[in-house]
Amino acid sequence: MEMITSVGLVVKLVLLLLVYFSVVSWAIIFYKVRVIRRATRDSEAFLQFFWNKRRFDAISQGLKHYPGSPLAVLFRDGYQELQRDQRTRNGDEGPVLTAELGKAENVARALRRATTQETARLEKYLTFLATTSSTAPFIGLFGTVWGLMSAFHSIGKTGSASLAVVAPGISEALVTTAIGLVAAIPAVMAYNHFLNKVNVLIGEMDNFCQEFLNIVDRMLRRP
Amino acid sequence: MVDPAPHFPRQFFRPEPRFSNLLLLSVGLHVGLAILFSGRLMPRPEVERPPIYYVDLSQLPVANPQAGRPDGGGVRQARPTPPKPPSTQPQPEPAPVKTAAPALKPQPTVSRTAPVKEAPAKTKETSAPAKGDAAADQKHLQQTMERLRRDQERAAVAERIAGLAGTGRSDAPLGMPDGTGNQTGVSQALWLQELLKSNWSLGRYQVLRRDLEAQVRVSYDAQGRLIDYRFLEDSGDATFDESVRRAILKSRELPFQPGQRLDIPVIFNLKDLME
Repeated sequence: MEMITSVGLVVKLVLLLLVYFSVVSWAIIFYKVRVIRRATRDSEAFLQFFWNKRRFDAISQGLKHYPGSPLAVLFRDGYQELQRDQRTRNGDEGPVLTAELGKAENVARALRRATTQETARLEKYLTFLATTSSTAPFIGLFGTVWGLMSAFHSIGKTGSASLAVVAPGISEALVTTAIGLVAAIPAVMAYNHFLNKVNVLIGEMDNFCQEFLNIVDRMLRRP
Repeated sequence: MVDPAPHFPRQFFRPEPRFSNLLLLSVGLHVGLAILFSGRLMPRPEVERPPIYYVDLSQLPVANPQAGRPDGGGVRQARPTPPKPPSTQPQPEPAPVKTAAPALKPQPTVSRTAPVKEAPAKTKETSAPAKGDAAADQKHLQQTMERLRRDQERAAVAERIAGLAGTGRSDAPLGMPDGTGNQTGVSQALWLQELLKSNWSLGRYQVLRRDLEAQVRVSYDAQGRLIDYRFLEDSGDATFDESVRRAILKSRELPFQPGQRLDIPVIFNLKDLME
């Protein structure tokens, strides 16, 4: 602890910046763990529910049980688009679908919009993790270089180059590099992990969109 | 205008985890780690510093010390006051100034008969020999003081030697108050400790700790035979205590006859023993 308190002002500012990066990174890590775990779990359950029910009105009644699933959001938006078209046409509030060709494109656009929104939600804050993982080591290195400059300056003033004079300054200067790495390593690991999970979920959303559109298309073509 | 979600209940819209709460959690995590590594909760392992030994070469431990005083009685009585080092002596006042000043006084009388222009030249002639005399005086003074200092040191060494030899002004030579032997020296306990150390052996990996220490009172009779030993304080490590016991039993016979019973407490320090 004395090693940190005895460093210069610039190195202290670097340390504060690195601590800020680390604190926010870990908060994001906790946040993403909860969001992505819930999304993955609810998506699996929703897919099972979706293929078991096979009726859109029944599925829409059970959406509240899958609040974290992006697939449920896609279904909600697509189903709303289908209903909106029917209600604007005849004012009927029921969930019965009318067979009319050419309306599947509206549903596809709604699904694309929902996919974009969900992707943005899942990738939220990941840029901060990427920034931390790429810049924190360099910020720490800057603090080390600055500390070494100060140490060598004081060595020049004392006129002694013994290990007892040189070592404390270098040791204090290296603290910023160590803390920079401590901030960056979890960030880069978490970023890669979450990016992989998000890509898997995006793939699932794409697949679900295709399946949903196929079902809608078949329903609309049915005489 | 159409309601964007006419058939979905409000609770469908997912509650996101609050980022501020997670931020507080992260701050708590960092503060906890800082406290943990600051050494308040988790004490840092102490760095073992090598022991420092102070050896008094004038009072060496001997097996059978003579009768006398441990500090060598005569030495303390005759201890001279240490001479002041030459460097701390105040430099004498610049004598040339004082001596040159009277030398300059005849200058007006000279200037009465001589032209005024010659006065500076005559002043230089009179002040130069005065400065030379002052330097010679200062050198003589320093030589005298140096000689006095050497004499004092020589006398101190002579008295010290006399004290060690039991002659001179002191009738209490270097030794022990209960000493019966004929060796000049003190601290029979240290000598015995060295003897026991030479008979002690223990593998480096037989004990896990390095800070073990045991204190044992060892008793020898007048013929130098071990009659008793008792642990005043054990080390807490059975292996180390057993090695101490073996060393004592190995030193059953002293290499001389003390002429009286010896009861000496001996400290067995593992770090010292392993050196």
